[in-house]
Amino acid sequence: MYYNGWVGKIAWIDLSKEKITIEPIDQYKDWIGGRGLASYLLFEHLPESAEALSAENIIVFSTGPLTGTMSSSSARLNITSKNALTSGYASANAGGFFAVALKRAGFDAIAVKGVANNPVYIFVNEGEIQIRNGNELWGLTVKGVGDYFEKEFSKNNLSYLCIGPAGEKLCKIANVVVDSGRSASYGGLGATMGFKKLKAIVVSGKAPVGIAHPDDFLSIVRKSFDKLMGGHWIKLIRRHGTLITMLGGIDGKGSQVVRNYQDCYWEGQKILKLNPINFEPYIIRRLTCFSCPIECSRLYRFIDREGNTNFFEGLQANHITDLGSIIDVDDLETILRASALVNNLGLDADGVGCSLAWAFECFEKGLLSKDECDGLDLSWGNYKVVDGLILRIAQRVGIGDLLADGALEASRKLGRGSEKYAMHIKGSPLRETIYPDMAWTLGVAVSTRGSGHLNGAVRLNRLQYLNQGESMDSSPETMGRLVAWFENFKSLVDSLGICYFTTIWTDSEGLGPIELAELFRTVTGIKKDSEELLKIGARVQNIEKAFNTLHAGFTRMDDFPPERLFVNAVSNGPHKGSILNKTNWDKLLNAYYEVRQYDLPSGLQKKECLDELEMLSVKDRLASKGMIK
Amino acid sequence: MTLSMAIDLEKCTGCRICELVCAYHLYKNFDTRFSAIQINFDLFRIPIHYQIKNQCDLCQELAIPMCMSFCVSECLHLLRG
Repeated sequence: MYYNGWVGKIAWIDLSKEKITIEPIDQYKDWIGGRGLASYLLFEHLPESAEALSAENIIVFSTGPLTGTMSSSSARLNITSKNALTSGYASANAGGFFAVALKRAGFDAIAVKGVANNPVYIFVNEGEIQIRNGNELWGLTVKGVGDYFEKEFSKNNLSYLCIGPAGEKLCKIANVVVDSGRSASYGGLGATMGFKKLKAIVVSGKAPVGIAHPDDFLSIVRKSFDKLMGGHWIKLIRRHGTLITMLGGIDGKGSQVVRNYQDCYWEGQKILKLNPINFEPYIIRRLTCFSCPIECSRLYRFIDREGNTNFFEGLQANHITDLGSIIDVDDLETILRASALVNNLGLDADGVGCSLAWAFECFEKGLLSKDECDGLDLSWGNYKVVDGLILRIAQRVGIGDLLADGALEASRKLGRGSEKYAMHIKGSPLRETIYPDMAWTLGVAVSTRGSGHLNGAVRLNRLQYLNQGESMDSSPETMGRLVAWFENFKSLVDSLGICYFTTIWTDSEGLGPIELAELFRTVTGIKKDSEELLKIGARVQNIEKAFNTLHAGFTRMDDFPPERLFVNAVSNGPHKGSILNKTNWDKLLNAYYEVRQYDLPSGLQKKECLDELEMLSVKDRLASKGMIK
Repeated sequence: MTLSMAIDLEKCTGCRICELVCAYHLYKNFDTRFSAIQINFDLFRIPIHYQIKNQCDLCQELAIPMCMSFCVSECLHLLRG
């Protein structure tokens, strides 16, 4: 059978039984692909009793029908599993080339369950899948794995994803690194792979993705490229990379995360030291993902303390907070080196930042002694200890063992009243800017993967896509609608397999739902209008919400940011005096729940919500557990 | 005077759009195995060498070859002579 958009197959790999089963994609097309497909597979196949770190857990590597086509930024790989940090839903997304190679090798998705007896890696080669002995890879860094594959296969255009030593050690803040520099973080996916003794997946594929209407498709792509390149934000990102979004903007007038949220204002001179322009001497070339005209990535070079030259791609805007302001470190080379280190060890920088910030604060408050910190001085701003702490986390040595499972779990182990310094939502690390847009903060707090801005978080100036012609206001009702709309939109974008950066989330000249419907039609040959596609986005959002309810028992109280943000006002700067307010947060949640048709007191889904979305089996499963209103 | 295509690999950022539009120009599909322009990448996705095959007709009917008109990193050049 010939496919357009999809390539036709899902591979189920059971590592315990060393068995590979191929299933056609056809029955899942209503979930589109990528995140939607994976969320459905996980919901249907994983019982609530399964732990994240267990043989039963399933980890799905999935692509969408636009992945590997010439749609702008069509390189996205979705990785979905049960969340090692929250026990709910985990999803992460990475660019590079891996997802494209996987489709070219003939697979829309790979779903892995079981545990291998010994370390293994999976080799996907032009339609064939092998489970191979990975003993020689175990213990290697991300770069080490790349070097191994280069020697082993001695061919070009390979792509791989892997875990580093942190994933092997089951650190719950470990990530999966794609193409040596693109990280799929959040949800402890590195630990999930590590538990399964799955070190890596390497792919070689060349077959094309079929396009139903090539002429129309190319015409739409041409227009979207031209429009995109005229966008104000796209121009800035092309010029500076993602670092342009650091610390709330190049002028430093945005909101920051400082000293574990003791403040959301950082002194101007510290921000200016970390201006994106100051990183430019370390850039040796621009990089981009497959079919992406934005070119947000950079290859960096620096000399480490041992005098070795290092090359790495992974520095992103969030690292300036995670490895900088959140522990009051303003030393540029420390951040650069630490960024390369977390990448090479397979650690999520956001998780590392939160763990470090919690430890620094415990040290300040006398809850952790210098002895308990392996003799290290964890005073705010002490950049000299950052590398050592990261290495300790990845190896689970000394204080690193305490920090390796995230700030919440560390605080539970330590006790001593340290829980109030663990900055998290639902157990997932919190390191987001809080002000000025409450739509951003709300989107972070209700994210189905626990926290993070890559679900419904959105700047208020995106209101034009919600209701054209309506004046912008910042009422709870408006923000609730805005966040719910962007949740549906992002679910759709992730299911199609393209990058959020190429959409209206980043720039008004980006792809919106109407353009996505046109791309979907010309690629797959299936006509669905933008409202139908956004409804699929809403279904994805709701199946993830239901997964969280069933597996983690999350309710309204889990949609609140940490207490500290309701107590500490911003000390200075443009947001001086800003503080979260419980009454206002309740209003915000109520407004959002109304739009989503969630029950206001409990935060659980209502029956009519799932009826409207025709999700009867989900409704029945929630009802059987008494978890629906 | 003859024209030929050259790629500045230092400027190439690795999007592979040129390969896709080349396949479209030649065969009305996006099967890059048969593109006249072929760039090979290492595991960092850094271009390491390229090949312009004989099928390249520099998109004669167009003012600018398709690969050049889509390339945003401006790494493609026409060589004269």
